[in-house]
Amino acid sequence: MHQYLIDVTYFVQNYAGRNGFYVVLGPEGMRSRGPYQFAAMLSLILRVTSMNQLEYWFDAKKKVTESQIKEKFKLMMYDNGPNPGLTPQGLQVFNAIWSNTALRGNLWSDIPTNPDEDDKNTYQGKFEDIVSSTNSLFYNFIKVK
Amino acid sequence: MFKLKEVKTDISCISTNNKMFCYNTKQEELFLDEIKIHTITSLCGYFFSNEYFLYSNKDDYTNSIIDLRSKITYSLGKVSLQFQKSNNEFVALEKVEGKRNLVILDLLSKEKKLIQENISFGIKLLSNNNLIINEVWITLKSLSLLTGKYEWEVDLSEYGEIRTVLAAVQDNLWVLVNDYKNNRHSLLCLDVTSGRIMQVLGEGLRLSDAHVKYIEEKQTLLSFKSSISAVPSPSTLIEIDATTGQVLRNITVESMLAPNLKVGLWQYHNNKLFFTANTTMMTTTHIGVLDYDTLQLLWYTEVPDRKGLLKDLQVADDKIYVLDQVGTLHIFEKESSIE
Repeated sequence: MHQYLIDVTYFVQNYAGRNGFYVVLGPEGMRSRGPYQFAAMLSLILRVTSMNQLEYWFDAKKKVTESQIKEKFKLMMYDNGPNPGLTPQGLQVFNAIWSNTALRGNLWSDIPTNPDEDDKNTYQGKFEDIVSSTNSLFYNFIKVK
Repeated sequence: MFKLKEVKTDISCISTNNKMFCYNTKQEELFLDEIKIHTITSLCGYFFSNEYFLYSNKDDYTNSIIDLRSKITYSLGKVSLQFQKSNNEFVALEKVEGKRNLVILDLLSKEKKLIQENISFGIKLLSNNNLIINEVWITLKSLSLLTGKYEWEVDLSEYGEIRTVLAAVQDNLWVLVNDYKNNRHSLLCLDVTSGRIMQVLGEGLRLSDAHVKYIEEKQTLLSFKSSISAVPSPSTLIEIDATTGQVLRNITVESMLAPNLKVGLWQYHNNKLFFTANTTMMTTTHIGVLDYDTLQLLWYTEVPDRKGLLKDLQVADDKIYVLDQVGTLHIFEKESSIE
């Protein structure tokens, strides 16, 4: 079982002058889990047009580091076990990205004009590579302050 | 006015050519104008104008195309069509041993002309006999289909990352570029024959970072956006003449202020702007229609029984199709004149 880290129930606010979301974790942040938070993350992925518009802020007072949180996000989306690959949640995140043409075009510059099933499969593989490493730029939406 | 006519569940995606409508179900069945045409595909089909409809097979990764006039289906194998060059000719990508080759395919004679092998860039636009190509978001190139050679190359990194190659209108090539670090979004006008930057628009304009479209019928570029917030905020519409680069309109849509509608997705159709909007919630909950010229709010409603946000909006044949986050398709039909 993977824990869901994301708690956007506390508040989701976008700052004036910016295009995107800042998600700030409330007091329940690290404890909170469950499908609602995951659905909320998918919902945000459907709304943003670039991962640069999404920022998850975690409170440093909770004694967490960026790399710890990136690792937990990775575990949610990617299974490092004997059969490595996307978890069901990871696949849902990919499908949400894929259904948001603005966002997928921003993540990959070489997607054909009208990708077919073979292309979708190729980019799912690329997404796997991205999320399997916490060093990838994809995880830059996670911030600790 | 429109009224809710039908609701379908378990829909994964929708597409339209303004006349016909296509959807794919979560059971991976593809329907075109309510007729099931294929099973085992997770994608929607793609329309080439009103003449052709392309779809993909998930079982063996092959593609097929339907001639919508004759209803004949052609099997394309691992060739994926990208742009219609002339009546039967398509710019296409052929998959060979995991690599993509750029070819020109004649649908009737099945003749293929190889232009370039193993391409790893994004083909963004066909302008006469040239393909406009985007490499790693920064470089734009023009590839001649006649000679197979590049005619120009330009580095646009000082403006940010290339987002969309919008249109080539006469000699103007319009490109949307985002610089997220400085929250600066620019519309660049390049000379399509040389790649030279002729005009940079963006300073003082609240341009959308992604939802800028070329309205072919009007020969204008349209940016229509609002901020995604729970508090009242205006929706800004910017209209630019694509032939001259002149800013025709840069205004707040006043008619959306009182009902507190903040635009999300939008589509141009028959001199109207159809949009999704949020009001007091963070997710889009409403749809509406504006007159393109006067920006008068002709109609709006909250989409009943939606779940999550409204993730896609399409308009075809006097119907509005709204897909919500869980896959419920809400179909609204025109019931009276809204002129």
